[in-house]
Amino acid sequence: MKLPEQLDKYALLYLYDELDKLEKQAFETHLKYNADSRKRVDELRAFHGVLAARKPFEPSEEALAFARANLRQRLREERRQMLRPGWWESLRMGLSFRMAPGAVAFSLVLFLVGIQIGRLLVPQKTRNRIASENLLQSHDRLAISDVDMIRYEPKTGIVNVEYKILQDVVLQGNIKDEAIRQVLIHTIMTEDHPGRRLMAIKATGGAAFSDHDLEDALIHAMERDEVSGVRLRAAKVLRYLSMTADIKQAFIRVLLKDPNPAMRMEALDVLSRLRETDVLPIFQNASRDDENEFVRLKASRILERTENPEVGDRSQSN
Amino acid sequence: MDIEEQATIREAQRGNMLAFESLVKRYDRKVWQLAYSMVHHAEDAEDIYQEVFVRVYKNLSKFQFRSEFSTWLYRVVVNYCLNFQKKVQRKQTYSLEKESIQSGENWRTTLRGHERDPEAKMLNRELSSKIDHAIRQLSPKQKLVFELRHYHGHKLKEIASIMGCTEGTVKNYLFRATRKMQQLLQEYSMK
Repeated sequence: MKLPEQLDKYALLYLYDELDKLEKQAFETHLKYNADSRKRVDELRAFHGVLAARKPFEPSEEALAFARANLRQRLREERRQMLRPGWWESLRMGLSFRMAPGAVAFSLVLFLVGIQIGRLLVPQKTRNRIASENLLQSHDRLAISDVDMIRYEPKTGIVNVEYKILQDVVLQGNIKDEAIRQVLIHTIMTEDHPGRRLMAIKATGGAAFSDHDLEDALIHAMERDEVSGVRLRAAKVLRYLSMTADIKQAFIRVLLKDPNPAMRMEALDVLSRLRETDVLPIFQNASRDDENEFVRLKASRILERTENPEVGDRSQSN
Repeated sequence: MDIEEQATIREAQRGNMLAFESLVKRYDRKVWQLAYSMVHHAEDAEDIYQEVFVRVYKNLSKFQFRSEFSTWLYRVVVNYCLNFQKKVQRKQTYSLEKESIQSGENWRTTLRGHERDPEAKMLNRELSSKIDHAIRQLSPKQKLVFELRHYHGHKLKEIASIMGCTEGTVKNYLFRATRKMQQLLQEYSMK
C-alpha cells in the first residue's frame, strides 16, 4: 500500500535524522502501530544501502597541490592588476591637475620651501638615508609609484633602493628588511625595465629569507619573465632556497615549457639534486623528446647515474 | 565559526595572502567535491575551483560574519555551478564513448578495495555508474540537495542557507529527488 505523501516525507526525514525531538517521538510511536510505515522505512533504509555503492568524488593530494599552485599564480596576477590604477583613475587624476592649476602651483611652492628648510636643518649625509624601520612606521602600506635604482653590494649584502612614493625615497638595509623586500617584489612583478628586474632578483640572493610573497615573485620571474637572462637569474636564486613543493613544481614547469635550453638545463640540474623518483618520468621524456641535444644528453646522464649510482658517484668524484 | 578562523578571515580581508591560502587549504577539497558533484566533469570542476576562489578573493571584504564562512563559500560555489550549468547546457545525452569514460572515472572513485570478490567488485562498479547516471537525471537543484544531504552530510538547515531558500523547500527537493532516484534504481532496490 502506498503511504500518504506527508508520512512518506516523515519516513525519509526520520532516516536522515532531520525530525525534531517531538516529531521523532511521535513518528516512532506511529511506527509501532503502522506496518505500512515500517515497511516504507525499511525500503528507504535498503535504498540507502544501495546508494552506499557510490562514494563521492575524492580529488588526489597531487591534484590539489597542482590546483593550489595554479590558483596562487592566478591570485598573484589578480593582485598585480588590482595594484595598477585603472585608465579612468589615471585620466581623472590628470584632469584634476589640469583643472586646478592654482592648487598645483601652491603645492609646488610648498614643496620647494620644504626642500629649502630641509637643506638648512638636516645634514647632507643623513638626509639621503632613511632607515627602513622608520619608513615602515610612517607608511602602513607603501604606495610605490616608480623604482629608479637598485644597487646591491655582494660583499656586504647591502641593498640600496631608490623609488618614488610621493617624492623620491632612498632606502638602505638588507633583505631582512620588510620595506626592502616590498620594493624588490614590486620591481620583480611590475617593472618594465629588464635591468632593474634583474638587479632586484640579484639583490634577493645575498642572504637567506623567509618571505612567501618574495618566493612567489621569484617563481613568477623564473616562469614568466620575457627576458631569459632574468628568468635564469631567478632560477639561480631559487635553487639555493629551501626546496618547497611550489619551487619544485615551478622547476618542473620550466623543464617542460621554457623555450630557452639553458633554463631547461638549469631545471634539470636542480631537480636531479633532489634525488626523488617522482621526477624520473620527466627526465625520461626530456632525454627522449627535448628538441635540444645538450638537454637530451644531460637528462640521459642523470638517468644513468640514477640507475647506477656507484658509477655516477665515481664519475662525479673524478 | 571558531575564533582562529575569524582571525584568519580578518587577516585575509586585510590582504594577507598567507591567511587566504590557509583558508583555501582548509576548504578546497570540499569545494572541489561539491563542484564535481554538480557538474560531473573533472576538468570543469577544476575550472570552477579556480574561478570560485578568485571570486572569493576579490569579494572577501564583503563577507561580514553574518553566517559561517563555509556557508558563504559554498553559496558562491553553488551559484557559480548553477550559472555554469545554465551557460554550458551540457546535455544529459552522452555519447557511448564519453559514457564509458565517465563511468570509468567514477569507478576509480567508488570502492577502495574492500570487496575482495572480483565479481562483487564489478557489480558494485556497475551499480555506482547507474547511481551516477540516475543522479544526472535530477534537476540541478534536486541534484544539489541530494548530493549535499546524502553524500556530503550537510544538514537541511545548512543547505537551505547555502541555497538561500527555506528549509521546507529543501525538504521538498530531497523528497522528490529520493522518489525519482528510487524509481530509476528500482531493479537494485528490489534485490
